[in-house]
Amino acid sequence: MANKILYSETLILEVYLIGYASQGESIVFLLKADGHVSYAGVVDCYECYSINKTIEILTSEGVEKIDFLCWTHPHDDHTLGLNKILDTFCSDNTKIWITDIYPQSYDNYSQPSIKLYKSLKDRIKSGNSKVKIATDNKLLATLKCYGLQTYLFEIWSFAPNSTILTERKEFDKPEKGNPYSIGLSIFAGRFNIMLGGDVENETIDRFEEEYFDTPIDYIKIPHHGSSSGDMLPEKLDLFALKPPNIATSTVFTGHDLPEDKVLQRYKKWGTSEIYITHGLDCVANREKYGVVLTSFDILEEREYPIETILLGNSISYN
Amino acid sequence: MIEFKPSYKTILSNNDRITHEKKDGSFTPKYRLPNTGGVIDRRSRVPGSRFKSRLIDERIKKDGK
Repeated sequence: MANKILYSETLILEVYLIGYASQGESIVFLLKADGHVSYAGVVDCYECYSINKTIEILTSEGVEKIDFLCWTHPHDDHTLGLNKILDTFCSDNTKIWITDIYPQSYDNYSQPSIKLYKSLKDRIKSGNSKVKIATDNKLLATLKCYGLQTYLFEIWSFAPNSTILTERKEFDKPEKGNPYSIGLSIFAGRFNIMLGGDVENETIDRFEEEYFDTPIDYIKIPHHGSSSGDMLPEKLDLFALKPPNIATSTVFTGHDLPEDKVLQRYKKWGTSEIYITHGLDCVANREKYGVVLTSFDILEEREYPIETILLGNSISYN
Repeated sequence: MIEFKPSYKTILSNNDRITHEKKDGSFTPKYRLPNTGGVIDRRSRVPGSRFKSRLIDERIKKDGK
């Protein structure tokens, strides 16, 4: 992938948050110059009922190979179907980012997930791989978009917190996974999109103000709206950041996520739009997936630079 | 002048040559970068500013409501 793209008329970032009826999370983002995909990325994957919306979206957009893949952590609800993304949509030019699970924690994951994880870790050990480890405050990808103006597109990781992981390692404390979760910031022109992964309060508590220094437009709520990651609004408010326009969440019905009280925190903070990939009420004969598609007009020429479309079973939370 | 074709993927390489990628091949006409000015990024954002945002519900469109 070149680190430059060219646009003439339009430059749009589309972010698809994909969820399923009971659990599972994946994100596809597409940077479109003049209507066609110039940069494609995937964060996590899930599939069920023979549905893999991640693959469907990539295919329908004509994406044959992606430029960026981030696997936030090897829990199954962020993993199923990821092997197909690796096999079919990744090339030697795809940057692949994973988290650094210490071997003493391997037993806390399913066998298929940890097998896939080990295979990627082996590629790193081979020394000739595009697979890399993401840690806090790391630049994962960057490119410039040239046209009438030049716009910067960057992807940074703000989690996992390397200090927390070092503590785990030193005290030989097995960890079930969420302190390992990668959190991402996508900076597209003046827009700021925060993808919270399954980041939890222990990590949020250690956020540094100098990293979160510009307004955030979109937050994928950490850990499916669990109270284990509910400190984010207060933490960012403490950094004098105004609430985002949009907060989104997938569901995990086995744990009753998202929690209403967590969504209310975003509401109370001042977030004007909250979208969930699946209705909180169980309704028969509805779609088994939900997609929240949000587009950002990087050139800021539309009357509404941010627009959201709800697909499948996704809903607006009031 | 470059003609943009929706079915092509337009990329500028490190040596400032434009490439239109296509499944069955590519061509690389010469092209000079059009911009020498500053780069617009998050740092040029006014603190506390918000962009206008709205919901367009695809299902409502389909239902004609």
